[in-house]
Amino acid sequence: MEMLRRLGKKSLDQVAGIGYALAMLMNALIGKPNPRKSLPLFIHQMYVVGVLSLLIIIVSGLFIGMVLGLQGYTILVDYGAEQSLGPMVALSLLRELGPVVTALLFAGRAGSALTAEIGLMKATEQLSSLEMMAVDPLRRVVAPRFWAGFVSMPLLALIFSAVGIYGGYLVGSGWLGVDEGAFWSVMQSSVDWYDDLLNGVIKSIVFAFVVTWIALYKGYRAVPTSAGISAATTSTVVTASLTILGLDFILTALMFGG
Amino acid sequence: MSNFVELNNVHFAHGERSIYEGLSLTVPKGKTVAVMGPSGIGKTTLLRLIGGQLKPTSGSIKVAGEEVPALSRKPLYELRKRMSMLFQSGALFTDMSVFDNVAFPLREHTNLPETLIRSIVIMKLEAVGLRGARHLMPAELSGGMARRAALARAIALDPDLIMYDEPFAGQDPISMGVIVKLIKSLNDSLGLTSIVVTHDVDEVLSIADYAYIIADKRVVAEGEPKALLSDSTAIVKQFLHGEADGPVAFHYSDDDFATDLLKGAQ
Repeated sequence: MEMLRRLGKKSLDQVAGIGYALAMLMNALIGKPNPRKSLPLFIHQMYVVGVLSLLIIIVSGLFIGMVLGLQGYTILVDYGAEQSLGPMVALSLLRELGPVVTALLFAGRAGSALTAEIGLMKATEQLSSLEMMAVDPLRRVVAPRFWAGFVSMPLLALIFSAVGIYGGYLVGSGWLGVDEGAFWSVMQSSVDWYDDLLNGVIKSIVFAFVVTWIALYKGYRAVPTSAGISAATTSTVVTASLTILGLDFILTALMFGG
Repeated sequence: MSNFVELNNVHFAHGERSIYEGLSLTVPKGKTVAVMGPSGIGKTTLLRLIGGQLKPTSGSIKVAGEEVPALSRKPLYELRKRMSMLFQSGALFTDMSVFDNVAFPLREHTNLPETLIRSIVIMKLEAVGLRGARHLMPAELSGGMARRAALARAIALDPDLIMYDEPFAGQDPISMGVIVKLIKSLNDSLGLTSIVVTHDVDEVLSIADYAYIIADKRVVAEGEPKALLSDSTAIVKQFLHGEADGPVAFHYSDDDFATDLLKGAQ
């Protein structure tokens, strides 16, 4: 009985949490935009959230692409199909690894930072004092961060895929001796603009929305103590990662399953 | 003389814990009113209720004639432009310099040219003695300086009402004296209304026009400082003279001390 009660309470809390998160996002994003004030804030956040994540995205993309080239080659060469290395690398990156790994890295790099920053602003009463100064913290603090994450992650995913393909090319053609012309031309003929590239971009747009939202919500609802902020940061990374993986399965089934 | 802030029979609970049961107090326009009471009775909550950040379970809260809990977002934000609050921690924005912190409300709520904003900020910083510290970041300020910088920010828009949350807590005697003088002179020169929430009795009674003592979820005593100091009610005496024994329990209530000790032996 006690267990049932606890289960009930937990599910109620979860549902209430989703409600709060929705309300937060609605209040942050709906309203008359004021570009004179919000544009500089957005650009600053684009730098913090997007540009500063570039290094980890580029380095990870390069290495994942190189590993793909290496692994793909050793499998394909047994069947004499090393000509297909190009499409293999490109498709894996564009359809799956680009959006998913970027989202996971983004959750760890930028998502945790967003949660910690907003949680600390809450703990030090900066959000409260904004409110008392008649400035809505949802519009001033949450909204520019949300847009920055939402815009920058798909771009980062594209950069990740591009760098990854180059990494696969370096290993495949430069080192293992796959014919350069075959690598690019087979890739070009088998990667579809709509099926592969666009679906990958749609995936990363969905991930961008969800990861940024989770990170901001966890920060905004953090218990304003040091333990509370650390728990919120952890929770951002865990919740965001699991959500990314779950959503990825659903999206893949919808896009490529039928 | 009209009242700028009026609380009437306010009830408020934090979750299951009741904080106020029938709190009433008034703050006349242009006066400094002290609200005193032991720690943990929700003095900060009182300021948040007045500022509309929290809604009471029942009762009326009027600021400048408007019923705060009933206001929708827009009029509430308009009303908040006329009041400001000095947080205990200062709550300066840590990613901005002192100058930008003070300029923040001006940049948000006015369309003044930057040269005029600069002059206003410098005047406000001069008033709190931090004109030379304008380029420092909040992390480089001492606690007292941070609170003075926050005060400069709080008066940037020339509010009608300013609420001080424990302005003296944790200050050294010098900055304490400076802040006491600042509150007094701001009140006299700008004609604003002040609410000072504190448990530093001597400091606040030296500048307040009227004082309330809150305990047991309501106002237990009120009056002009002189009258309060000569009040002989047990609870007033206990609070103003800092005695552990009296109607306000110093010990967080629990089992009897002896029983508690013996529990370990069982």
